[in-house]
Amino acid sequence: MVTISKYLSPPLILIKRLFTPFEEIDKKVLNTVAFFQICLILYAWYAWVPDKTFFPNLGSVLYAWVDMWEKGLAYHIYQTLKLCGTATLISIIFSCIVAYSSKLPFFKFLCNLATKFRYNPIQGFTLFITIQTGGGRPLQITILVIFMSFYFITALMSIINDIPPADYDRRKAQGMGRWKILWKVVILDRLDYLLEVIRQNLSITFMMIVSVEAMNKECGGLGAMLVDTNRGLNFPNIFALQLTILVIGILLDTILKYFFHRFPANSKR
Amino acid sequence: MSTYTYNIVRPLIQINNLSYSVETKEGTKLLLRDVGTETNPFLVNDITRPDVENTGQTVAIVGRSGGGKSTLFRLIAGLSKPTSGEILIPKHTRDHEDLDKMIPVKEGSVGFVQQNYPLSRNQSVQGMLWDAAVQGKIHRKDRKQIIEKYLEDWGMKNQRNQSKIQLSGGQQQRCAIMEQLLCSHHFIIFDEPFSGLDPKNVDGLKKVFNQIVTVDEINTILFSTHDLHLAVELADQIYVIGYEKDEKGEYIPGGTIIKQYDLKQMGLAWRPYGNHHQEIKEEIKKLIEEN
Repeated sequence: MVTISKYLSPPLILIKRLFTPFEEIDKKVLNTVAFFQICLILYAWYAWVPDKTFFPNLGSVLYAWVDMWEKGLAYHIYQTLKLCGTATLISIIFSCIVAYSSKLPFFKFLCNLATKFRYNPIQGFTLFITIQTGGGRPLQITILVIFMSFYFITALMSIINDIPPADYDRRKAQGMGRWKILWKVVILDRLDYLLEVIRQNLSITFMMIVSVEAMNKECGGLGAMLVDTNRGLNFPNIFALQLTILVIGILLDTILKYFFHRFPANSKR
Repeated sequence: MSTYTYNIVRPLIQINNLSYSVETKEGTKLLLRDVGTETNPFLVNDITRPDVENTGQTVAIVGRSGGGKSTLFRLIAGLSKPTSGEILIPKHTRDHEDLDKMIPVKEGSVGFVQQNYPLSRNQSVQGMLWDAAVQGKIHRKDRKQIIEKYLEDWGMKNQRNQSKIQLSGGQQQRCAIMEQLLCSHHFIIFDEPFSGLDPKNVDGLKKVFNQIVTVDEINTILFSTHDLHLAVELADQIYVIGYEKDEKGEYIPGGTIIKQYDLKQMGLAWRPYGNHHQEIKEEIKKLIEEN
Protein backbone atom coordinates (compact mmCIF):
# COMPACT_ATOMS: atom_id res chain seq x y z
CA MET A 1 0.00 0.00 0.00
CA VAL A 2 1.44 3.41 -1.01
CA THR A 3 1.29 6.00 1.76
CA ILE A 4 1.61 9.74 1.42
CA SER A 5 4.43 9.75 4.05
CA LYS A 6 6.74 8.30 1.42
CA TYR A 7 6.75 11.60 -0.43
CA LEU A 8 7.02 13.93 2.57
CA SER A 9 10.18 15.50 4.04
CA PRO A 10 10.98 14.70 7.74
CA PRO A 11 9.53 17.98 9.17
CA LEU A 12 6.30 17.41 7.24
CA ILE A 13 6.13 13.81 8.47
CA LEU A 14 6.48 15.08 12.04
CA ILE A 15 3.69 17.61 11.49
CA LYS A 16 1.50 14.88 10.04
CA ARG A 17 2.21 12.68 13.06
CA LEU A 18 1.36 15.54 15.44
CA PHE A 19 -2.10 15.65 13.90
CA THR A 20 -2.62 11.87 13.84
CA PRO A 21 -4.65 10.36 16.72
CA PHE A 22 -2.78 8.09 19.20
CA GLU A 23 0.66 8.81 17.75
CA GLU A 24 3.55 8.31 20.19
CA ILE A 25 5.59 11.50 20.06
CA ASP A 26 8.94 12.11 21.76
CA LYS A 27 8.57 14.11 25.00
CA LYS A 28 11.18 16.67 23.91
CA VAL A 29 9.20 17.37 20.75
CA LEU A 30 5.98 17.79 22.74
CA ASN A 31 7.71 20.18 25.18
CA THR A 32 9.00 22.24 22.26
CA VAL A 33 5.50 22.36 20.78
CA ALA A 34 4.12 23.48 24.16
CA PHE A 35 6.76 26.22 24.42
CA PHE A 36 5.87 27.57 20.97
CA GLN A 37 2.15 27.46 21.81
CA ILE A 38 2.72 29.59 24.94
CA CYS A 39 4.87 32.02 22.92
CA LEU A 40 2.13 32.23 20.30
CA ILE A 41 -0.57 32.98 22.88
CA LEU A 42 1.59 35.67 24.51
CA TYR A 43 2.44 37.18 21.11
CA ALA A 44 -1.22 37.19 20.08
CA TRP A 45 -2.10 38.90 23.34
CA TYR A 46 0.70 41.44 22.86
CA ALA A 47 0.13 42.15 19.21
CA TRP A 48 -3.61 41.84 18.65
CA VAL A 49 -5.21 43.32 21.76
CA PRO A 50 -5.56 47.11 21.33
CA ASP A 51 -4.70 49.51 24.14
CA LYS A 52 -8.03 50.96 25.08
CA THR A 53 -10.44 48.08 25.63
CA PHE A 54 -11.83 46.31 28.70
CA PHE A 55 -9.50 43.42 27.88
CA PRO A 56 -6.07 44.66 29.02
CA ASN A 57 -3.06 44.06 26.79
CA LEU A 58 0.01 42.06 27.85
CA GLY A 59 2.14 45.11 28.56
CA SER A 60 -0.34 46.69 30.98
CA VAL A 61 -0.83 43.41 32.83
CA LEU A 62 2.91 42.93 33.28
CA TYR A 63 3.24 46.53 34.42
CA ALA A 64 0.40 46.03 36.92
CA TRP A 65 2.03 42.85 38.23
CA VAL A 66 5.37 44.60 38.86
CA ASP A 67 3.51 47.43 40.56
CA MET A 68 1.62 45.04 42.84
CA TRP A 69 4.81 43.12 43.63
CA GLU A 70 6.42 46.34 44.80
CA LYS A 71 3.36 47.03 46.96
CA GLY A 72 3.54 43.70 48.79
CA LEU A 73 2.08 40.99 46.52
CA ALA A 74 4.57 38.50 48.01
CA TYR A 75 3.01 38.99 51.47
CA HIS A 76 -0.47 38.25 50.11
CA ILE A 77 0.78 35.16 48.24
CA TYR A 78 2.33 33.97 51.51
CA GLN A 79 -0.94 34.56 53.39
CA THR A 80 -2.92 32.66 50.76
CA LEU A 81 -0.49 29.72 50.79
CA LYS A 82 -0.48 29.68 54.60
CA LEU A 83 -4.27 29.60 54.75
CA CYS A 84 -4.47 26.99 52.00
CA GLY A 85 -1.78 24.81 53.65
CA THR A 86 -3.25 25.00 57.15
CA ALA A 87 -6.81 24.29 56.00
CA THR A 88 -5.69 21.45 53.70
CA LEU A 89 -3.65 19.79 56.45
CA ILE A 90 -6.46 19.94 59.02
CA SER A 91 -9.02 18.89 56.43
CA ILE A 92 -7.03 15.92 55.10
CA ILE A 93 -6.35 14.62 58.64
CA PHE A 94 -10.04 14.94 59.54
CA SER A 95 -11.12 13.38 56.22
CA CYS A 96 -8.72 10.46 56.64
CA ILE A 97 -10.07 9.71 60.10
CA VAL A 98 -13.65 9.74 58.76
CA ALA A 99 -12.85 7.77 55.59
CA TYR A 100 -10.75 5.11 57.34
CA SER A 101 -13.46 4.77 60.00
CA SER A 102 -15.85 3.66 57.26
CA LYS A 103 -14.19 0.24 57.46
CA LEU A 104 -15.55 -0.14 61.01
CA PRO A 105 -19.13 -1.37 60.60
CA PHE A 106 -20.38 0.93 63.38
CA PHE A 107 -19.30 4.09 61.52
CA LYS A 108 -20.20 2.95 58.00
CA PHE A 109 -23.55 4.78 57.83
CA LEU A 110 -22.21 8.01 59.35
CA CYS A 111 -19.23 8.06 56.98
CA ASN A 112 -21.48 7.54 53.96
CA LEU A 113 -23.76 10.29 55.26
CA ALA A 114 -20.77 12.65 55.50
CA THR A 115 -20.19 12.36 51.76
CA LYS A 116 -23.72 13.68 51.08
CA PHE A 117 -23.05 16.96 52.87
CA ARG A 118 -21.17 18.22 49.85
CA TYR A 119 -24.60 19.11 48.41
CA ASN A 120 -25.12 21.62 51.22
CA PRO A 121 -24.16 25.20 50.33
CA ILE A 122 -21.72 26.54 52.94
CA GLN A 123 -23.26 30.04 52.77
CA GLY A 124 -26.15 28.91 54.95
CA PHE A 125 -23.76 28.21 57.82
CA THR A 126 -21.50 31.27 57.45
CA LEU A 127 -23.21 33.36 60.12
CA PHE A 128 -23.29 30.47 62.57
CA ILE A 129 -19.58 29.73 62.03
CA THR A 130 -18.71 33.44 62.31
CA ILE A 131 -20.40 33.62 65.71
CA GLN A 132 -18.74 30.38 66.84
CA THR A 133 -15.21 31.26 65.68
CA GLY A 134 -15.28 35.01 66.30
CA GLY A 135 -14.31 35.78 62.69
CA GLY A 136 -10.81 36.46 61.35
CA ARG A 137 -8.41 33.68 60.47
CA PRO A 138 -10.23 30.96 62.51
CA LEU A 139 -13.39 31.69 60.51
CA GLN A 140 -11.52 31.37 57.21
CA ILE A 141 -9.84 28.12 58.25
CA THR A 142 -13.06 26.61 59.63
CA ILE A 143 -15.06 27.36 56.49
CA LEU A 144 -12.32 26.01 54.23
CA VAL A 145 -11.86 22.86 56.34
CA ILE A 146 -15.60 22.11 56.34
CA PHE A 147 -15.94 22.83 52.64
CA MET A 148 -12.88 20.83 51.59
CA SER A 149 -13.51 17.90 53.93
CA PHE A 150 -16.74 16.85 52.25
CA TYR A 151 -14.93 16.58 48.92
CA PHE A 152 -11.88 14.87 50.45
CA ILE A 153 -14.05 12.36 52.32
CA THR A 154 -16.02 11.55 49.16
CA ALA A 155 -12.84 11.03 47.12
CA LEU A 156 -11.10 9.00 49.83
CA MET A 157 -14.11 6.77 50.43
CA SER A 158 -14.34 6.09 46.73
CA ILE A 159 -10.67 4.98 46.75
CA ILE A 160 -11.17 2.81 49.85
CA ASN A 161 -14.31 1.21 48.43
CA ASP A 162 -12.42 0.34 45.24
CA ILE A 163 -9.78 -1.74 47.07
CA PRO A 164 -10.03 -5.24 45.56
CA PRO A 165 -11.16 -7.91 48.08
CA ALA A 166 -8.12 -9.96 46.93
CA ASP A 167 -5.85 -7.41 48.66
CA TYR A 168 -7.53 -8.07 52.00
CA ASP A 169 -7.55 -11.84 51.40
CA ARG A 170 -3.81 -11.81 50.73
CA ARG A 171 -3.09 -10.21 54.09
CA LYS A 172 -5.64 -12.40 55.89
CA ALA A 173 -3.95 -15.50 54.42
CA GLN A 174 -0.68 -14.15 55.81
CA GLY A 175 -2.26 -14.24 59.23
CA MET A 176 -2.49 -10.49 59.79
CA GLY A 177 -4.98 -9.16 62.31
CA ARG A 178 -7.80 -6.87 61.16
CA TRP A 179 -6.25 -3.64 62.51
CA LYS A 180 -2.94 -4.47 60.88
CA ILE A 181 -4.75 -5.09 57.58
CA LEU A 182 -6.42 -1.69 57.91
CA TRP A 183 -3.02 -0.10 58.47
CA LYS A 184 -1.19 -2.02 55.71
CA VAL A 185 -3.81 -2.25 52.96
CA VAL A 186 -6.07 0.75 53.46
CA ILE A 187 -3.67 3.34 54.87
CA LEU A 188 -0.03 2.61 53.97
CA ASP A 189 -0.59 0.99 50.60
CA ARG A 190 -2.76 3.87 49.41
CA LEU A 191 -0.88 6.79 50.91
CA ASP A 192 -0.05 8.14 47.47
CA TYR A 193 -3.76 8.59 46.76
CA LEU A 194 -3.90 11.22 49.53
CA LEU A 195 -1.67 13.45 47.40
CA GLU A 196 -3.79 12.72 44.36
CA VAL A 197 -7.00 13.56 46.25
CA ILE A 198 -5.48 16.89 47.36
CA ARG A 199 -4.28 17.58 43.82
CA GLN A 200 -7.64 16.74 42.23
CA ASN A 201 -9.48 19.00 44.67
CA LEU A 202 -6.95 21.84 44.62
CA SER A 203 -8.91 23.76 42.00
CA ILE A 204 -12.03 23.69 44.21
CA THR A 205 -9.90 24.83 47.16
CA PHE A 206 -8.51 27.73 45.14
CA MET A 207 -11.96 28.68 43.91
CA MET A 208 -13.15 28.77 47.50
CA ILE A 209 -10.10 30.48 48.97
CA VAL A 210 -10.81 33.73 47.11
CA SER A 211 -14.33 33.96 48.58
CA VAL A 212 -13.09 33.00 52.04
CA GLU A 213 -10.30 35.57 52.06
CA ALA A 214 -12.75 38.20 50.92
CA MET A 215 -14.79 37.58 54.11
CA ASN A 216 -12.05 39.09 56.21
CA LYS A 217 -9.72 41.29 54.23
CA GLU A 218 -7.63 42.25 57.23
CA CYS A 219 -5.91 38.86 57.10
CA GLY A 220 -4.68 39.63 53.60
CA GLY A 221 -4.29 37.13 50.80
CA LEU A 222 -4.84 37.12 47.07
CA GLY A 223 -8.62 36.84 47.51
CA ALA A 224 -8.74 40.01 49.59
CA MET A 225 -6.59 41.80 47.00
CA LEU A 226 -8.81 40.59 44.18
CA VAL A 227 -11.98 41.92 45.79
CA ASP A 228 -10.38 45.35 46.32
CA THR A 229 -9.08 45.41 42.77
CA ASN A 230 -12.47 44.36 41.37
CA ARG A 231 -14.14 47.32 43.06
CA GLY A 232 -11.82 49.77 41.29
CA LEU A 233 -12.45 48.09 37.91
CA ASN A 234 -8.69 47.96 37.50
CA PHE A 235 -8.60 45.30 34.79
CA PRO A 236 -4.81 45.02 34.34
CA ASN A 237 -4.49 44.39 38.09
CA ILE A 238 -7.36 41.87 38.04
CA PHE A 239 -5.72 39.98 35.17
CA ALA A 240 -2.33 40.09 36.90
CA LEU A 241 -3.85 38.66 40.08
CA GLN A 242 -5.77 35.97 38.20
CA LEU A 243 -2.59 34.94 36.41
CA THR A 244 -0.72 34.86 39.73
CA ILE A 245 -3.36 32.54 41.22
CA LEU A 246 -3.22 30.37 38.09
CA VAL A 247 0.59 30.09 38.20
CA ILE A 248 0.57 29.25 41.94
CA GLY A 249 -2.11 26.61 41.29
CA ILE A 250 -0.04 25.08 38.48
CA LEU A 251 3.09 25.09 40.67
CA LEU A 252 1.32 23.36 43.57
CA ASP A 253 -0.20 20.88 41.14
CA THR A 254 3.25 20.11 39.70
CA ILE A 255 4.82 19.68 43.15
CA LEU A 256 2.07 17.30 44.29
CA LYS A 257 2.35 15.37 41.03
CA TYR A 258 6.11 15.11 41.52
CA PHE A 259 5.73 13.57 44.99
CA PHE A 260 2.90 11.33 43.76
CA HIS A 261 5.25 9.82 41.20
CA ARG A 262 7.94 9.23 43.85
CA PHE A 263 5.75 6.46 45.35
CA PRO A 264 6.68 2.92 44.19
CA ALA A 265 3.15 2.32 42.86
CA ASN A 266 3.52 5.19 40.38
CA SER A 267 7.17 4.84 39.47
CA LYS A 268 7.92 4.19 35.86
CA ARG A 269 9.19 0.81 34.72
CA MET B 1 10.04 -50.18 42.01
CA SER B 2 10.38 -49.21 45.65
CA THR B 3 10.39 -45.53 44.65
CA TYR B 4 6.66 -45.70 43.98
CA THR B 5 5.65 -47.43 47.21
CA TYR B 6 4.61 -45.33 50.20
CA ASN B 7 3.36 -45.43 53.78
CA ILE B 8 0.54 -43.34 55.20
CA VAL B 9 1.68 -41.47 58.31
CA ARG B 10 -1.14 -39.16 59.36
CA PRO B 11 -3.97 -37.05 57.94
CA LEU B 12 -2.99 -33.57 56.75
CA ILE B 13 -6.24 -32.13 55.47
CA GLN B 14 -9.57 -33.62 56.41
CA ILE B 15 -12.93 -32.21 55.39
CA ASN B 16 -16.01 -33.47 57.20
CA ASN B 17 -19.56 -32.96 55.85
CA LEU B 18 -18.87 -29.45 54.61
CA SER B 19 -21.65 -27.29 53.24
CA TYR B 20 -21.61 -23.62 52.37
CA SER B 21 -24.46 -21.35 51.41
CA VAL B 22 -24.87 -17.62 50.92
CA GLU B 23 -27.85 -15.31 51.26
CA THR B 24 -28.96 -13.74 47.99
CA LYS B 25 -31.96 -11.64 46.94
CA GLU B 26 -33.61 -14.83 45.73
CA GLY B 27 -33.03 -16.54 49.08
CA THR B 28 -30.43 -18.96 50.39
CA LYS B 29 -28.13 -20.30 47.70
CA LEU B 30 -26.25 -23.52 48.36
CA LEU B 31 -22.77 -23.31 46.83
CA LEU B 32 -21.17 -26.43 48.27
CA ARG B 33 -22.89 -29.53 49.58
CA ASP B 34 -21.67 -32.52 51.58
CA VAL B 35 -17.97 -32.30 50.79
CA GLY B 36 -16.10 -35.03 52.64
CA THR B 37 -18.62 -37.71 53.58
CA GLU B 38 -18.00 -41.22 54.77
CA THR B 39 -18.75 -42.64 51.34
CA ASN B 40 -16.87 -39.91 49.50
CA PRO B 41 -14.14 -38.64 51.84
CA PHE B 42 -11.92 -35.63 51.31
CA LEU B 43 -8.70 -36.67 52.97
CA VAL B 44 -5.11 -35.75 52.17
CA ASN B 45 -2.59 -37.91 54.02
CA ASP B 46 1.01 -37.35 54.93
CA ILE B 47 3.03 -40.11 53.33
CA THR B 48 6.62 -41.26 53.33
CA ARG B 49 8.44 -43.01 50.54
CA PRO B 50 11.49 -45.23 50.86
CA ASP B 51 14.67 -43.57 49.55
CA VAL B 52 12.91 -40.22 49.19
CA GLU B 53 13.73 -37.61 51.82
CA ASN B 54 10.65 -35.39 51.64
CA THR B 55 7.39 -36.20 49.91
CA GLY B 56 4.92 -33.39 50.07
CA GLN B 57 1.42 -33.69 48.64
CA THR B 58 0.10 -32.20 45.43
CA VAL B 59 -3.67 -32.18 45.20
CA ALA B 60 -5.61 -30.96 42.17
CA ILE B 61 -9.21 -29.79 42.26
CA VAL B 62 -10.81 -29.80 38.84
CA GLY B 63 -14.27 -29.06 37.55
CA ARG B 64 -16.35 -26.66 35.54
CA SER B 65 -16.28 -22.92 36.15
CA GLY B 66 -18.84 -22.05 38.81
CA GLY B 67 -18.68 -25.53 40.31
CA GLY B 68 -17.38 -24.26 43.64
CA LYS B 69 -13.58 -24.68 43.37
CA SER B 70 -12.77 -21.13 44.46
CA THR B 71 -15.40 -21.28 47.21
CA LEU B 72 -13.86 -24.51 48.50
CA PHE B 73 -10.40 -22.89 48.43
CA ARG B 74 -11.61 -19.87 50.40
CA LEU B 75 -13.06 -22.24 52.99
CA ILE B 76 -9.85 -24.29 53.22
CA ALA B 77 -7.86 -21.04 53.58
CA GLY B 78 -10.15 -20.03 56.43
CA LEU B 79 -11.27 -16.89 54.58
CA SER B 80 -14.92 -17.98 54.73
CA LYS B 81 -16.66 -19.94 57.43
CA PRO B 82 -18.55 -23.12 56.46
CA THR B 83 -22.30 -23.16 57.01
CA SER B 84 -21.89 -26.66 58.39
CA GLY B 85 -19.11 -29.20 58.70
CA GLU B 86 -15.41 -28.64 59.37
CA ILE B 87 -11.98 -28.56 57.80
CA LEU B 88 -9.17 -29.94 59.93
CA ILE B 89 -5.41 -29.56 59.60
CA PRO B 90 -2.57 -30.52 61.98
CA LYS B 91 -1.59 -28.03 64.66
CA HIS B 92 1.52 -26.32 63.38
CA THR B 93 3.45 -23.11 63.76
CA ARG B 94 7.04 -22.26 62.94
CA ASP B 95 8.13 -22.95 66.52
CA HIS B 96 5.81 -25.75 67.47
CA GLU B 97 4.33 -28.72 65.69
CA ASP B 98 1.88 -31.18 67.15
CA LEU B 99 1.05 -32.88 63.90
CA ASP B 100 -1.05 -35.63 65.39
CA LYS B 101 -3.52 -33.12 66.79
CA MET B 102 -6.04 -32.00 64.16
CA ILE B 103 -7.57 -28.55 64.63
CA PRO B 104 -10.15 -26.55 62.62
CA VAL B 105 -8.55 -24.36 59.98
CA LYS B 106 -8.52 -20.65 60.68
CA GLU B 107 -7.64 -17.48 58.79
CA GLY B 108 -3.88 -17.38 58.26
CA SER B 109 -3.09 -21.05 58.83
CA VAL B 110 -3.20 -21.96 55.12
CA GLY B 111 -1.36 -19.97 52.45
CA PHE B 112 -3.40 -18.71 49.53
CA VAL B 113 -1.82 -17.69 46.23
CA GLN B 114 -4.66 -16.01 44.40
CA GLN B 115 -5.27 -16.03 40.69
CA ASN B 116 -3.97 -12.55 39.87
CA TYR B 117 -1.17 -12.50 42.45
CA PRO B 118 -2.22 -9.41 44.41
CA LEU B 119 0.78 -7.64 45.94
CA SER B 120 1.29 -4.37 47.76
CA ARG B 121 1.26 -1.29 45.53
CA ASN B 122 3.71 0.76 47.54
CA GLN B 123 6.21 -1.80 48.79
CA SER B 124 9.36 -3.23 47.30
CA VAL B 125 9.74 -7.00 46.92
CA GLN B 126 12.06 -6.94 49.93
CA GLY B 127 9.51 -4.98 51.99
CA MET B 128 6.74 -7.43 51.15
CA LEU B 129 8.92 -10.40 52.10
CA TRP B 130 9.87 -8.65 55.34
CA ASP B 131 6.17 -8.31 56.23
CA ALA B 132 5.64 -11.99 55.42
CA ALA B 133 8.64 -12.96 57.56
CA VAL B 134 7.21 -10.94 60.46
CA GLN B 135 3.90 -12.80 60.05
CA GLY B 136 5.81 -16.08 59.89
CA LYS B 137 7.35 -15.18 63.28
CA ILE B 138 10.89 -15.47 61.95
CA HIS B 139 13.23 -14.01 64.55
CA ARG B 140 14.29 -10.45 63.74
CA LYS B 141 18.00 -11.31 63.60
CA ASP B 142 17.40 -14.13 61.10
CA ARG B 143 14.94 -12.30 58.86
CA LYS B 144 17.41 -10.51 56.62
CA GLN B 145 19.43 -13.65 56.00
CA ILE B 146 16.38 -15.81 55.27
CA ILE B 147 14.89 -13.22 52.88
CA GLU B 148 18.27 -13.01 51.16
CA LYS B 149 18.25 -16.77 50.65
CA TYR B 150 14.74 -16.72 49.25
CA LEU B 151 15.63 -13.94 46.81
CA GLU B 152 18.66 -15.93 45.70
CA ASP B 153 16.84 -19.27 45.39
CA TRP B 154 13.90 -17.81 43.49
CA GLY B 155 16.02 -15.69 41.14
CA MET B 156 14.66 -12.37 42.41
CA LYS B 157 17.86 -10.78 43.71
CA ASN B 158 17.89 -8.08 41.07
CA GLN B 159 14.24 -7.22 41.69
CA ARG B 160 14.56 -6.77 45.46
CA ASN B 161 13.93 -3.02 45.30
CA GLN B 162 11.27 -3.11 42.62
CA SER B 163 7.58 -2.58 43.25
CA LYS B 164 4.65 -4.56 41.84
CA ILE B 165 4.28 -2.31 38.81
CA GLN B 166 7.90 -2.97 37.82
CA LEU B 167 7.65 -6.78 38.01
CA SER B 168 6.69 -9.09 35.17
CA GLY B 169 3.77 -11.52 35.62
CA GLY B 170 6.14 -14.39 36.44
CA GLN B 171 8.06 -12.31 38.98
CA GLN B 172 4.80 -11.23 40.67
CA GLN B 173 3.82 -14.88 40.91
CA ARG B 174 7.15 -15.84 42.50
CA CYS B 175 6.90 -12.97 44.96
CA ALA B 176 3.36 -14.04 45.96
CA ILE B 177 4.57 -17.63 46.51
CA MET B 178 7.62 -16.55 48.52
CA GLU B 179 5.37 -14.49 50.78
CA GLN B 180 3.24 -17.53 51.58
CA LEU B 181 6.27 -19.74 52.21
CA LEU B 182 7.81 -17.16 54.54
CA CYS B 183 4.57 -17.05 56.51
CA SER B 184 5.42 -20.57 57.53
CA HIS B 185 2.67 -22.14 55.48
CA HIS B 186 3.00 -25.86 55.00
CA PHE B 187 -0.30 -25.78 53.15
CA ILE B 188 -0.53 -23.59 50.08
CA ILE B 189 -3.50 -23.13 47.81
CA PHE B 190 -3.00 -22.02 44.22
CA ASP B 191 -6.15 -20.78 42.52
CA GLU B 192 -5.80 -21.34 38.76
CA PRO B 193 -2.01 -20.85 38.82
CA PHE B 194 -1.50 -21.93 35.21
CA SER B 195 -4.13 -19.76 33.55
CA GLY B 196 -2.64 -17.28 31.13
CA LEU B 197 0.94 -18.55 31.47
CA ASP B 198 3.16 -19.15 28.46
CA PRO B 199 4.86 -22.59 28.14
CA LYS B 200 8.10 -21.31 29.70
CA ASN B 201 6.30 -19.99 32.76
CA VAL B 202 4.26 -23.20 33.03
CA ASP B 203 7.54 -25.12 33.21
CA GLY B 204 8.82 -22.64 35.77
CA LEU B 205 5.75 -23.12 37.94
CA LYS B 206 6.04 -26.92 37.70
CA LYS B 207 9.56 -26.58 39.14
CA VAL B 208 8.19 -24.32 41.88
CA PHE B 209 5.64 -26.98 42.81
CA ASN B 210 8.39 -29.57 42.95
CA GLN B 211 10.55 -27.22 45.02
CA ILE B 212 7.76 -26.69 47.57
CA VAL B 213 6.83 -30.34 48.04
CA THR B 214 10.40 -31.53 48.39
CA VAL B 215 11.37 -28.96 51.04
CA ASP B 216 9.26 -30.35 53.89
CA GLU B 217 7.51 -33.62 54.52
CA ILE B 218 4.14 -32.08 55.34
CA ASN B 219 4.19 -29.38 52.64
CA THR B 220 0.95 -29.68 50.70
CA ILE B 221 -0.14 -27.92 47.54
CA LEU B 222 -3.77 -27.68 46.53
CA PHE B 223 -4.34 -26.23 43.10
CA SER B 224 -7.19 -25.79 40.68
CA THR B 225 -6.83 -25.90 36.93
CA HIS B 226 -8.82 -26.31 33.75
CA ASP B 227 -5.82 -28.00 32.14
CA LEU B 228 -6.53 -31.65 32.89
CA HIS B 229 -3.20 -32.74 31.40
CA LEU B 230 -1.37 -30.67 34.01
CA ALA B 231 -3.66 -31.90 36.78
CA VAL B 232 -2.94 -35.54 35.99
CA GLU B 233 0.76 -34.87 35.41
CA LEU B 234 1.43 -32.96 38.61
CA ALA B 235 -1.04 -34.18 41.20
CA ASP B 236 -0.91 -37.31 43.26
CA GLN B 237 -4.54 -36.91 44.21
CA ILE B 238 -7.34 -35.37 42.11
CA TYR B 239 -10.78 -34.28 43.28
CA VAL B 240 -13.44 -33.63 40.66
CA ILE B 241 -16.00 -31.10 41.75
CA GLY B 242 -19.39 -30.78 40.09
CA TYR B 243 -23.13 -31.20 40.47
CA GLU B 244 -24.76 -34.55 41.17
CA LYS B 245 -28.07 -35.55 39.58
CA ASP B 246 -31.11 -36.90 41.41
CA GLU B 247 -33.20 -39.93 40.34
CA LYS B 248 -35.12 -37.76 37.86
CA GLY B 249 -31.88 -36.71 36.25
CA GLU B 250 -32.07 -33.13 37.54
CA TYR B 251 -29.08 -31.36 39.05
CA ILE B 252 -29.00 -31.19 42.85
CA PRO B 253 -28.07 -27.67 44.03
CA GLY B 254 -24.59 -27.19 45.48
CA GLY B 255 -21.28 -28.38 44.09
CA THR B 256 -19.76 -31.46 45.64
CA ILE B 257 -16.92 -33.93 45.11
CA ILE B 258 -18.24 -36.24 42.44
CA LYS B 259 -15.14 -38.36 42.19
CA GLN B 260 -11.62 -38.61 43.50
CA TYR B 261 -8.57 -40.20 41.96
CA ASP B 262 -5.74 -41.28 44.23
CA LEU B 263 -2.93 -41.49 41.73
CA LYS B 264 -0.57 -42.83 44.40
CA GLN B 265 -2.86 -45.77 45.01
CA MET B 266 -3.26 -46.27 41.27
CA GLY B 267 0.52 -46.35 40.91
CA LEU B 268 0.54 -43.30 38.65
CA ALA B 269 1.96 -40.65 40.97
CA TRP B 270 5.58 -39.51 40.57
CA ARG B 271 5.82 -41.24 37.19
CA PRO B 272 6.28 -39.57 33.80
CA TYR B 273 3.05 -38.83 31.95
CA GLY B 274 2.04 -41.92 29.98
CA ASN B 275 -0.89 -43.77 28.46
CA HIS B 276 -2.50 -44.51 31.81
CA HIS B 277 -2.38 -40.84 32.71
CA GLN B 278 -3.99 -40.03 29.38
CA GLU B 279 -6.82 -42.48 30.11
CA ILE B 280 -7.47 -40.86 33.48
CA LYS B 281 -7.44 -37.45 31.82
CA GLU B 282 -10.07 -38.56 29.28
CA GLU B 283 -12.19 -40.08 32.04
CA ILE B 284 -12.12 -36.86 34.07
CA LYS B 285 -12.90 -34.83 30.97
CA LYS B 286 -16.00 -36.95 30.29
CA LEU B 287 -17.03 -36.72 33.92
CA ILE B 288 -16.81 -32.92 33.92
CA GLU B 289 -18.77 -32.68 30.67
CA GLU B 290 -21.54 -34.84 32.10
CA ASN B 291 -21.77 -32.94 35.39
